[in-house]
Amino acid sequence: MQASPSSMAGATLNLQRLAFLLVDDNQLALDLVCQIMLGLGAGRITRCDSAGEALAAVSANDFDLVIADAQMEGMDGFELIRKMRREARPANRAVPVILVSGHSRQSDIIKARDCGANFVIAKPLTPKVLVERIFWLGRDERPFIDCDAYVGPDRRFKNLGPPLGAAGRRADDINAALGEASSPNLSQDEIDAFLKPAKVNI
Amino acid sequence: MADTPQSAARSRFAQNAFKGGIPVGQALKAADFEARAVRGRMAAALIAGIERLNTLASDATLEPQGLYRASAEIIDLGACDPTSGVSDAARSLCDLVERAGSGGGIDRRSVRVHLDALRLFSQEPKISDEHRQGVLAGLRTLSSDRRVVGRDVIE
Repeated sequence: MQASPSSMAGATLNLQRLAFLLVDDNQLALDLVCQIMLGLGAGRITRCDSAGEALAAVSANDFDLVIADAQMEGMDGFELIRKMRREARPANRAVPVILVSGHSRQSDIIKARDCGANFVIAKPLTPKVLVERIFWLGRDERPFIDCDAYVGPDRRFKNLGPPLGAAGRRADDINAALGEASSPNLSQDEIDAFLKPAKVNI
Repeated sequence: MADTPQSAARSRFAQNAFKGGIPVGQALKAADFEARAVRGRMAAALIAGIERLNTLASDATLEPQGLYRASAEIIDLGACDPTSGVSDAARSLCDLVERAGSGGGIDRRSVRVHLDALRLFSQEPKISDEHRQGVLAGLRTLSSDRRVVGRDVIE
């Protein structure tokens, strides 16, 4: 169930002893997320400018949080997370993942959910939004699923609601008939509606 | 469904990231400060990115992949001023190019309007929010291929 947004007044953040993997093929975007994480007090940061490099990193070191760009040249962020969930060393397979997306089509958000990402942030990235998602991760109570078809946070967390056209559907019920749609970019609120976080307002 | 392998264990991140440390407000201020230098470099790259887009838009072929890539790059660079509307305008251009790619050509005039909006947002940071939202609504009308005729919207 989704918790009501709550204030983080008085909350603290302690990232000093945690290890972060940041992945983006755009150097400036990678610099930005890196500087934001440093400002938030991140202790150990590993930067990768390709999904291939990131896969090598998750095979060699343990991480506590992965923040990756969704749209990279070659292997994209979706494929990176899918592979990481299946092939990384055991400690990294269940690590929380935030995907950062530039052009966020509805089909991309479905892909993000199905590759095993925990949350998606629409660019431009800001410290406030990143910290909010970090707190959402802290309150994420979805069980972690590990089976042949899927590895990642429980996707069944969201109620599909009654069938389309039936009475009783809520505005944010997912359309079970969604396919590989070609649709305009989604706003951050629309993205979050697909991933059903326990929201926290900063 | 009941036998789906699952674990309810909290991640190491969730267990440790919120014990002690620094107040969130202080962390946010430090993060904003650290990001400032990168934002300056992004602002410089944004000007170059819009010019690159202009060159692509002037090309006779209006090659969709190049336009899409250049627009997507500007979404990233819009982080130099997240409230400027630059990223939103670039996203709308991505929508426009993608829609055109799935049938018919790209409307050159619509690309030009997006370019004008990108220049406005990047060079006139003091425009009112109402003005900015109005421009963005107009761009979305173009990129979603919904043309306003009088008070009606046709698709």
